[in-house]
Amino acid sequence: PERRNWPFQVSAALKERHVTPTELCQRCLALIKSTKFLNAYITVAEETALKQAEESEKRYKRGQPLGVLDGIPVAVKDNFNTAGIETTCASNMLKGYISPYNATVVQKLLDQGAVLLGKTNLDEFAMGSGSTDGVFGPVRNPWSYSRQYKEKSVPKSDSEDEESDWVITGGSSGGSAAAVSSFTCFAALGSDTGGSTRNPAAHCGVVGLKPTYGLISRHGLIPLVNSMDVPGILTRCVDDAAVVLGSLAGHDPKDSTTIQDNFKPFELPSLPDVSKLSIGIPKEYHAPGLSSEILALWSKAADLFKNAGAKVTEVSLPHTRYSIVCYHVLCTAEVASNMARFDGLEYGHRSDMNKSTESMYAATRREGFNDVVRGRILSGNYFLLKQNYENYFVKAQKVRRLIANDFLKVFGSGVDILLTPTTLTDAVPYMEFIKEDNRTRSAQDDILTQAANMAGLPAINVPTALSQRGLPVGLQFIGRSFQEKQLLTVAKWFEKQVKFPMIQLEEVKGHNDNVFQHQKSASFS
Amino acid sequence: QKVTVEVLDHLEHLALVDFRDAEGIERLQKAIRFADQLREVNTDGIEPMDSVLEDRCLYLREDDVTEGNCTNELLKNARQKVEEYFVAPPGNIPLPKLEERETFLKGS
Repeated sequence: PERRNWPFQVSAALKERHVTPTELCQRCLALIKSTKFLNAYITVAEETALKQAEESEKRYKRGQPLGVLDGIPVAVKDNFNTAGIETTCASNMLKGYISPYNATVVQKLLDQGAVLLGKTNLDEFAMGSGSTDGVFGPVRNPWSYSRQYKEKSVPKSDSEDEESDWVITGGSSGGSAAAVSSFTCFAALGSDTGGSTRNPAAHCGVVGLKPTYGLISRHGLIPLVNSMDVPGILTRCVDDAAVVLGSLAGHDPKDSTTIQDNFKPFELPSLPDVSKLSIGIPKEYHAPGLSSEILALWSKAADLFKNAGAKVTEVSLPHTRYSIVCYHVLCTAEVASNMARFDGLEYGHRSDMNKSTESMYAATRREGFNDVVRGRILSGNYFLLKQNYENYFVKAQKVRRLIANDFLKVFGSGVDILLTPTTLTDAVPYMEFIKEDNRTRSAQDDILTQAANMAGLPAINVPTALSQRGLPVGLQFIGRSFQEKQLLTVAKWFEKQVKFPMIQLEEVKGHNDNVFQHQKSASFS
Repeated sequence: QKVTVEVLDHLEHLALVDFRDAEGIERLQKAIRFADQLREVNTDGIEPMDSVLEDRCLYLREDDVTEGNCTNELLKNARQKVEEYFVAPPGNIPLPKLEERETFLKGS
């Protein structure tokens, strides 16, 4: 990026030598240690991170940083391949798997000088909406330990463990969201197939961007649904998301589903103007189960835009309620295919069973996958059976087109951006969340985010306000294909309006120092 | 309709994962019932959508070798290997029939 407008805060702090990359890295590593109870990280790459920080420091000393991201600590969801660092997908199937290559997005971050702190926790193979179903255990939402949440909690009588109060991060990129939310890194990569970046972003009070399908390379992202997966970006503010997007987007010859159009990184206007925009409010997103709090916030947000001079109209996306069913079929079908590669021969777990190839495969997969993964594989295979193919798989593909057409129609009628809630409620306590099974939960929680994946559109969660329980609530903007600049501009405007409060983490009091105390320094741009 | 044991067995063969218990089978039944809601949608005259990028051409790159020679790297992650081969148990032995296998389905 050009050197015209050096972003302030952490990047400037680095550039002006107020803090060195190694100091920054050490502080983040220390914070990761002191927030271990969040279980946000599966692997912390301490040695390599410090080495990267040292290299970055040398560059700053020479006055030649690689760019805005040079020296910035980042984290990556554990379903991205990272050379030399274990990649597990939170599954027994890949425990101990050390990838020989970096996913393209990881390589791009490293090429920009970012410091990779570690791999974050997720639902096993990114299947889930709570980040509770991985083999390394659930991720805890940092807001569970915030003054804001604790103030609103009903004090537990005597014996009940305060520990059982904690709320989930949402998922499946919960580790990444928690890592960003708790200040252990400045940006994190997630993935988004049905809302897996936006959902935890909403629950953890961070910005979660799902880019247009085809904009960012999936090479090295262990696939869930090839036709819907995208790498997701989690940051503390919209400007940071734009910077990260700028360093990641663009054609990759190693991923034939990336478009060849030239991508130009952009900077967002410092004073965005929304008065000439047309905002659409899809009525079907007033879904059953939407909390009255979120409904009210959504309405307030619409008014904010109206008062700023934007045109705000109610629109209809009639097939919204079928997107979850459609996703269910297409996802399980693609999963059945994608998971077939895990047979124990070339990588990953291998069973000791060796009577025959088939029995070895079966035993390996029996031992390596959890119930959720196995369940989806079996369902997917059912829908792909010859007798079912037309009625389920092809049918779902047709419904997918109807869903995508709904969006085309609305955007074609002059609407620029859609405004919707991101989640139905604020984060629920873990003990409550696990009462329902994974599939039911996913079906409920993905309802507001899934359709954007169906249609491949860009969407972003912007933290909006705190709920009555003191937990974050976010709202979602959905934009036109490849119009990330417009989407992020609107998001930035909204972010400035709502002034979402900073988390006041109690447990980490001792570690708050200059870098973390001021909200400004919480971002790098 | 309930899924027959024959189909369940067939699925276990295709997927090479097992149902493990009654819950696994019930999960499939629920998944099918859930998916059946698709029937409510009228899709007459609608073409299936494979990819949201269907309006773009899939491009071809030049047929140049740009990477490779990474045999050692790739073999590193395999548990059982001999020289440059992945070692697999004998392959022409089909999974035992339902009656002879260790599977929950036997009891169904």
